[in-house]
This record gives sequence, structure tokens and C-alpha cells, in this order.
Amino acid sequence: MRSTRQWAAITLCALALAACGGDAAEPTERTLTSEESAMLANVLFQNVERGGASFQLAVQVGDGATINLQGEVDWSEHRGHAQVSTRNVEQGVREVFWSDDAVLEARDDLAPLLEQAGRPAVPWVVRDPEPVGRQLDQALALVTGLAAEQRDNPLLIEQEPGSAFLRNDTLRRVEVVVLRYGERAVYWLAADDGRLVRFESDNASQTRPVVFDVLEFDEITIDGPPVDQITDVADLGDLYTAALTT
Amino acid sequence: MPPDIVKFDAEGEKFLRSGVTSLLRDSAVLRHRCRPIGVALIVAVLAGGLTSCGNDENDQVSVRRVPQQYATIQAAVDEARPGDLVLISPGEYHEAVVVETDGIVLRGTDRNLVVLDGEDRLPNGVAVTADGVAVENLTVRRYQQNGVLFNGSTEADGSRDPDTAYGSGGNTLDGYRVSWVTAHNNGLYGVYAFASRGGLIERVYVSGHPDSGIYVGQCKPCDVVVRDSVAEYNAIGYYGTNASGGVYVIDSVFAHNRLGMTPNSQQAELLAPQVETVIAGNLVVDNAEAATPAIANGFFGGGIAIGGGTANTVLRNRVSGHSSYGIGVVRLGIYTPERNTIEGNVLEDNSLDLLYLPDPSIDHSAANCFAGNTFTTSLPEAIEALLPCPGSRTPVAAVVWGQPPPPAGIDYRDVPAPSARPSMPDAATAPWTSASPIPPAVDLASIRVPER
Repeated sequence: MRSTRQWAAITLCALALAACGGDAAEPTERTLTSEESAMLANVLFQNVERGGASFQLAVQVGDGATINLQGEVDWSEHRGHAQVSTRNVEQGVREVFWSDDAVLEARDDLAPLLEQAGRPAVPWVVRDPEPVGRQLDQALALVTGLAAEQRDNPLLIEQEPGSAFLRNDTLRRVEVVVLRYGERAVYWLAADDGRLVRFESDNASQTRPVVFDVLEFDEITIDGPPVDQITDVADLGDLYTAALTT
Repeated sequence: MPPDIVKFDAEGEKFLRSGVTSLLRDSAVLRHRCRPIGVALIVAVLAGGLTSCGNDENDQVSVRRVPQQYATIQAAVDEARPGDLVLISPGEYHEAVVVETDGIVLRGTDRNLVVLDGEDRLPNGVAVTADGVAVENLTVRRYQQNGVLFNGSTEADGSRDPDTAYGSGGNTLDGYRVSWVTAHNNGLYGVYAFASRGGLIERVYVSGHPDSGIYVGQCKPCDVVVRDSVAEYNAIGYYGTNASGGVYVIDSVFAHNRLGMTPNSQQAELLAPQVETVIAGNLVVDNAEAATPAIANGFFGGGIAIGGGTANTVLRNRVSGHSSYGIGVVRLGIYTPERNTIEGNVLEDNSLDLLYLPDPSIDHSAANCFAGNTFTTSLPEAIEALLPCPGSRTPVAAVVWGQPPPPAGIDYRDVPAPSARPSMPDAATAPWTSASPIPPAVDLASIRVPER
């Protein structure tokens, strides 16, 4: 039997979820139907089929440290572009373009260092992705990684520990079905056609540090900035490292 | 005539050929048996007048015709009782057929003209969760998931004890058959048997699948025979993840895939590691085709790969035209191969004919053995001297082997559709029977290396 304190905690969790996204959150967790596992199997493949989307991403990367992106992603070409706002991490970055093999940054913190060194302004810096070492790059990889060239296998999704139907809900006036894939990934999928509306991922402490929202699907083509505005990070010497540490 | 096709004796009594008679004793779903109605039934059968016959429960076993009696295949299936034949006339059927009744036979009257077409929007062509179902003589194409699926993992009761449960539940599918079926351009597999046992997959043609043409997985024992089939232009021809015990893949052709055949062990499915598959008498050629769909994290240019499998036998196959290797006994993930026998195969025109590549921590043969093969190159060199049969624990130095990244693939929907394939003889009139849970016996001694 659950104690009053436990019921209170569950109620608070439900209220928090409702405030976050929904109008009618009911704790209705159960195993997936074959139709629901097929929705999960299709969703990332569908992202590629749809081409791309405008999106928002909010990531909690540590105590008081957050990264927020708002931009567009081309899932078929694995490219993205976003405005960046951060707190207590990667604070110099204002805007990024990225692909599988390059990250272009517009940095506010670089201009004074360049001026101090008597060098011309650098609108964009290009560097290799560092998906292991930099949390910004992990966030970028997550955005382009929400795509798959092949459908997943619904039978394996069904038997994946943790996979479950969580509830029906409404998000931004879209009727959605909320499904968990494995222990840590939660997909909010449009009830009518299964398109991705929201992706959440959890960490070991289950604090839901990642929330990705599709704002609108569209055929997205991302062209980077003019080549003459791009400087290789190697050409900046220590100035780039200095900017990171300011 | 395959051994599990029914025959009638002079009195019109239906009987079953050798090896299947025990079904009458063992399987409740296969108890239907025609009454001795004599010459009239024989004449009716010969005249194409398949109608019905009685069973032990005094029910009628019926032929249900689509579209003459039922507008859709699903409507006929829903009305069918165990032992019935759903006989489908030529046409395109845009249905995802679900079969939940034991012992039904679905048969097209013409393999190439009876087409189930998912139009890239429907999930599976034929999805079976019942025992003893057979699918015969039709084409299934353009489904988002699978052409023909047999799935014994249907009870989502949370049970995951690999000693007692198949898949997520305890409901194992027993007995299935796929014959004279063409499956092409489906989004996962052509013919997919998952958590199922007691199968016969024969005379199928599968192409254009971004995972594999034929897949048998997560079963122990599987007791399945795959024979006289062709898999071309798939990411993988035959894929047997955690498919263990009584698995025979014989007398078939695996050509122009990215990887021909791979019994293998993976953590992604239950019942690992994989053990005891026999691959014999197959023609495994030119599985280095770039114009194929690429499986994620895929492999390219291999004939037969024992990926972390145990106690498999690769016997008298012809393996040629591979850019990575002909036959590899290799590690896969956390699994390293043990006690596999590679014997009597003919290898030619491969960049490397034979490869043994265990986990780097393994400095011995792990009872894997190579003998009597016709080959030119191997790694380690002189592989038959280093790892002789019968296998034992002999020291083997680590080898270095790598392959270039696989070439980009093409969309599975863009793989050209196959040409017409041979149809089942007299499909409209031939007798039918439910699928046996006991596959036909395999006489390995009679299997020879196929000609090119």
C-alpha cells in the first residue's frame, strides 16, 4: 500500500508533467502495442523522409549549467544551424552551423581578443566536432542524430526493458501519444501520423536533462556562411583557447 | 512433392508422408483429417474442385476463395478455421494480413500474379502469431516492416527468462512454413521468423531488404530448414541472430548482397549466444554489391560470417567473389566464436578465402577448425594446419585484419523488382496441409558443393 507521502509525490510529478507539456496527463503506463512499437520504429526514419525541421533544444548539462538551441536541422544531409544561449557553459558561442565533420561557431568572446592582438575580426571559426569532450557538440550530435536511414525493429523495441506506453496527452494543441523506448528515451508522437513532436532523454539521476521540440517539419536546406567569413581554428593559434577560458 | 504435403490413398483417406505422421499425435492444431469419402474426393481434387473435407471434430475444412467469396484476404482469414485453405486469385491486395488462427494455409493461385502490396505504408504483408500456418505461392512487397512475419513473442508478460521464454513472453510459435513466396523491397526483412520454432522456408526469393532477406532469430531450439531459396540484393542474405539448435540453411543461393550469410550472437536479442546452425551446399557468390541497401553499422564484401557463434558447421558450400573474405569465423561484440567447423568448402576469387579472427584476448583456436577446404589464402596462414579438425585448443597468434569503410548504399525502395519466379505447380488444385512443427529431415551426406 502506498503511503500518503508517496501519493503526494506522484501527484506533484503529474502536476509537473502537466505544466511542462500537457493538458491531461494520466498515469497509465503499460506495455506497448504492436502499433505503438511500430510508431517508435518509424519515427527517426520518418524524420529523414520529412527532410528536416525547425526545433528547440534545452539541455541541462550540470548544476546550473544549460545549453539552449533554436534553429533548423536537415536530417537527410546531417546538417544544422542554431542560435545558442547558454548558462555557465560555452558562454561565448552565439550561433552555430554544424555537420558530421565540422562545427562553425560565431563567438562574441573572440572579437576583443582579436582586436587586442591587432588581428581582423573573424565572423566564423571552423573546427572539428568534439562529441566526447564538449557538451555543446554533444547537443549538436543529438539533434542530427534524431534520424535513421533505416527503420528500427518493432519486435525488439517491444522487448527492450523499459519500453512502455506512458499516456495520451496534448502538447502545443497536438494530440500525442507518449511512449518510452528503453529506460531513458521518451518520445511524444502525434497521434494522427506518428510524427515526432518532442523527444526527452534522461540521465542516470532521472532528471530529464534533455528536451527536444520539433516546431515545424519542412524541407530544410542549410547553407553555411560565405567562405570568406570562415577562419580555421588552427589559424587562430592560442586565441581560440583563450576565448574558451575567458 | 515436399514431404509435408498431404496425399490421398486409394480410399480417399488423407495421410502424411514420413516424418510428419507424428504431427497427428503431437499437434492438436493439425488433427484435421479427411473422412474416407473415396473416389469422389479424388476426382474433385484432380478436377480442381477443392472444396472441403472433414476433420476429427466433424467440422468442415474449407477452401475460402479470395476475392470470389471474400473481398479481402483478411476477411477470409478471419472466417477461417484451423486446417482451412485461403486460396487467393490473381490481383493486387493492399492489405496487412494478420493471422491469429492456428493451422491456416494461405495460398496464391499464381506466385507472380497474386501480389500483396503494402505501398510503403502498411506494416507487414502477412503477420502470423498462430501455430501451424503456411504461406504459399504469392508475392509480398513494399511493406514498411516485413514481407512475411512469424512472431512467437506475443505475450508481453514481462517474462525474460531465456530458459523458459521466447521473446518477452512465453508464447512460442510452433510450426510455420513459407513456400514459393517472393518478397521484395520491404523495409526490414523479407521472411522473418522470430521467437518461433519448427519451420520450413523453401523456394522463396527475397531481394531489396535493408536488413536481411531471410531472418531467423531468437529461438532455441529453432528446428528450421531453409532450402532451395534465393536471396539477392539485400543488405544481408541470411541473418540468424541467436538462432540456435536444429537450424539448417542448405541448397540455396546467396548472391549480390552486402553479406551473404551470418549466424551470429548479439546482446540485442534474447537467447545469446547463438549455437548450432548448419550451412551446407549453398552457392554464396559476389556478396560485395554496392547497389544494395546498407544496414546500419554494416559489413561489406563477405560470403559467410560466423559472428561470435558457437558449434556451427559450414559444409560443402561454394564461396566466391568477395572483397573482404569468403568464410570468416570472427568475433562480434562481446562474443567470440567457439567450436565451429569449416569443412569441405570450395573458395575462389575472394580477397581472403578463410579468416579466423577471435577476440584479441584469445590466443588459441577455441576448438574452431578448418579441414578439407579448397582455398588459396587464409589468415592466419596455413589455417588448416593451425586449426585442424576435430577442433581442440591449439595456440594461434593474433592476426591483424581490417576492411575499408563500406560503400554508401541505395534506398531499399530503389532496388529493382525481381523478374517472375517459378510458381507452385497446380497451385489452384493441389492438396494442402497445415505447417508442421517438425521440419523435414536433412541428409547432410547427400549434399554436394554446388556448381557455379
